[in-house]
Amino acid sequence: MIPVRRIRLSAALAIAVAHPLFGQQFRVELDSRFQSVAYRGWQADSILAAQAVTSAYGGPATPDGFALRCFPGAQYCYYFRPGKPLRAHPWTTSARGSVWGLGVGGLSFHAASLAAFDPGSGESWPGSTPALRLVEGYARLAAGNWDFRAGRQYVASRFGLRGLDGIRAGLEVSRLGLELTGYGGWILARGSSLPVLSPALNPLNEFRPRRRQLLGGIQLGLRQGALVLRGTYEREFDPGPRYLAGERVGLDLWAALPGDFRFSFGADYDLGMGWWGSAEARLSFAPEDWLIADLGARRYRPYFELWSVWPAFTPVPYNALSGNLSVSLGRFISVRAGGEVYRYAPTGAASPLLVETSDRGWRGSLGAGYRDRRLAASANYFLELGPGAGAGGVEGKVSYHSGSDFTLSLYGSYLRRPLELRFNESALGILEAAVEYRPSDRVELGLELGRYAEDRDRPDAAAVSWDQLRLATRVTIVLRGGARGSGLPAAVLRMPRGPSGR
Amino acid sequence: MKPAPLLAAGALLLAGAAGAVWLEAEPGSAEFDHERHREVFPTCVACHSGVMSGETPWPDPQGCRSCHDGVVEEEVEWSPPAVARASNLRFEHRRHAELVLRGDTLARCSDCHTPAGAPWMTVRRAVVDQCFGCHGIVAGHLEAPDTACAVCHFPLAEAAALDLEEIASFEKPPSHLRNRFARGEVHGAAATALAPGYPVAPSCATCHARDFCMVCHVDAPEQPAIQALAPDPRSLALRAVLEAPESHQSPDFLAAHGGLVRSRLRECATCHARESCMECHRALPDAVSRLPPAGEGRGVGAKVVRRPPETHAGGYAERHGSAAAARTETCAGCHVQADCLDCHRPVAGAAGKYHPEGFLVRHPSAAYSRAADCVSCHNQGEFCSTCHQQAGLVPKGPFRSGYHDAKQMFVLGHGEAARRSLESCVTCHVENDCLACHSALGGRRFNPHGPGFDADRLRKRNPGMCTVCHGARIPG
Repeated sequence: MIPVRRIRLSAALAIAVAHPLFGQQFRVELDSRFQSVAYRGWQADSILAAQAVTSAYGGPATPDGFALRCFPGAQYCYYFRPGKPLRAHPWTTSARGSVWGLGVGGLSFHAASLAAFDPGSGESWPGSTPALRLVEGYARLAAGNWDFRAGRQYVASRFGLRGLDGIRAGLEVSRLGLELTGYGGWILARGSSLPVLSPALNPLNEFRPRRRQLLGGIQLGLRQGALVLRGTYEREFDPGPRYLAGERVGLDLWAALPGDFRFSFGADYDLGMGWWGSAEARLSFAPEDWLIADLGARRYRPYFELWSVWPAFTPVPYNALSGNLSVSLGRFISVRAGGEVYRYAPTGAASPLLVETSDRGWRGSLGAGYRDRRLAASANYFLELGPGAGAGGVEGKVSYHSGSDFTLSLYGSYLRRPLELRFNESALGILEAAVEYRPSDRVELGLELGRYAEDRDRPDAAAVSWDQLRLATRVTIVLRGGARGSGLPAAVLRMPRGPSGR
Repeated sequence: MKPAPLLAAGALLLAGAAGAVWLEAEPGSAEFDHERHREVFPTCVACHSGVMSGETPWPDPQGCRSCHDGVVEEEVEWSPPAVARASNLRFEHRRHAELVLRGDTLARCSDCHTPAGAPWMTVRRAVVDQCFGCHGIVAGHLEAPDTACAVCHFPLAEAAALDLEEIASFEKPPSHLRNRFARGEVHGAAATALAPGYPVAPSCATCHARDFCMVCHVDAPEQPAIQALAPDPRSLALRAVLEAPESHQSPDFLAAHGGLVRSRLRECATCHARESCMECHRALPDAVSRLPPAGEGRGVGAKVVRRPPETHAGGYAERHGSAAAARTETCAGCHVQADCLDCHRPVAGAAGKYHPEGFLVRHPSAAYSRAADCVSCHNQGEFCSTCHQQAGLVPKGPFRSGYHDAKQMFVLGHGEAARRSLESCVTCHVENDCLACHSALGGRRFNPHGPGFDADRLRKRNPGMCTVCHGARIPG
């Protein structure tokens, strides 16, 4: 058994009594957040098919009015009753730190960890288990044109932010505009800082591999004038039977074109399945800083690792066209509009007579904003309708900044959300106030209080209303110092602390 | 003594004394009206006798009382100022008087203090044009050659008696009003045009000192012209405003400035210390490391305010993927990886701001069609399935769910929806729900493979997956 307590005690003691080396510097950010939220789910239920009645809207229903789904010939029909209100109190504390100036030029250590739990509710808030996790922790040695990293880290590529416990080596040859990066190690699950074997990632007891997969990848970047190219190859495989878990190659391109145009393009090919994955191309036009316009085309195809059976079900891609326009009217006012239309590729699944579902959709938004030194306001209207669901509504936000230490924000929105495959059209109204206060450049406090009112409109007895108050608090403390005392570069010190700080 | 020099000296003394009185009292003031006394005084030295000897140029108050005794004329109260007027003039009456006495010049007091053609006792401060006339300077006062200023003026740092108000009232020369003068192309050349004889033009030193230059010039220690100026904080009484060059106004500037820095570093170093780059850059680019760090003896220079580039406007977070993947090193110029983690590995319980408020309610439409690549930030099992399970949405078997109640026959015709949004399906359904019908080992043996499925390829790459449905007898 690992003597965790003794290790922690020793580490704390070592940190407390250690003298900083000459030039040693560090930065630690502690962030603690607490939320109190409620949500209301469903309670599955069933009745004998023989007890089903015909409802006023034509479908089968329980005698007390709940819509039923009855499978032909089945003994039972199934339905959902409104579930009990669930209240969660997720409390998370994250610590992020860097240490450098350790006597070896270019050597630094970086770590981020997260402690999370949900006291009292008995229900697990997503992401609150395990209670303690290492988000990242690696040593970095930047020596000349070389950049080495070892430990738990993330590699940014067109395949997303891939986490791995392993090593990465990068070489940059500025003279040739060349950048070469290679990496390998035990992969973390997509969208998580946990290995795929973690029970926290498998609440439904899906198929999982027996061992952690290994990931190897290489990136080659080339910059020539206004053209930037980057190719990425990645291979995931099972270390046991050497089965392939994934193999993809991707290309990304960015170019500055004459006439204030920018062009970006990216595409990937799934070598494991032998088909094209996702791709996107976008042409942007920004002749002046008051006008930004872009047109884009996008193709999206979901990616599943080969250790699951889902690739064999052959998900099809959709293709989309989109456009955005942002115009500044004078110094303070801006308006923007954007939209996207998309359509799925043929599925090859022929059952239109039984269930007709939509194969296309669109989304659009229209907004305006005002911003001066103290006041910021925005209003937005959005509407989207696609397969499975739609949504539409309005939202507005006003923020007042008192210098650099105090911000008060008010937010309100109203939206409706119809579903395609289920009777449910939610209507949600939100009123929220938020305060951020920065008593010093090392401490930041935040408080949000919101009133959520949701009505789930249905033609049956499952229609339900529920209102709630939501509370969120936040404390962020930044510690930094060292023998030279100046801390990180200003750019790093001024980094916004996550989206909520922006 | 010969009469001519005496006459000239007398005239000079008179002019000097008269000038001194005028310096204290503007023409027409109640202090002393020279023109009103035109008939009384035939010479200047009658009152200003001290000019010649180098003593005070002011008249003796007793001399005034010889008339203003209360009988002949009303009494006046006047006494000479205790302190000489602050000035940066190099001019000394005594020296000019000596030149006159030596016969090197025929100057008289009125040559400097009376406008050309004006009647006797029209006394003014020294008329600059007339100074220029004697000294052979053919230009207006503020348009004189750069070397000419020092003929009559001390450098500012040596004119210790001038206070801030007086310095601030210095008239701006026409040259300074020319377009782009302050932006360096002109004023820098003017300051150094006379080198090496003059490390800095005397015209600059007349009104400015090193502190003034250091308002903008980060590279002050590297500029000999600036170092040639003496330090003097009083020079800040003249306000210097650092204006961004025209190149900085271009919409492309932010994107292109890296190349400019590499090719024209010295120009950048004029106004930018290393710190101004570090306001945005998280690490020192090569070129930036050659810029001087801010410190003693250097100007504050340009203050850079960190702000997102124009390209980041209008929902850039939703479409940054390709550009970020292609230009990772460009992003790394201003961002650290922790910035990525803030959104791509959101903290449980934190009210993230990538999605708008209330997104939980409206997320089905965005999730079905993957308006964004959800999996890039949210693990499907950890985030989606956990919540769906607790909301009671997860079925306990393939046919034991009432969720899709708007489509009674959905289970018989779900194929299209499933192939379009398989990622959404698997947030509630597990493999066994599907394999109940879609496995070759049992059930209804519906083939789940759709268009583009390459069985041979998959069998070679990962036969383990095939065995889930086909067991040991993988076809092909």
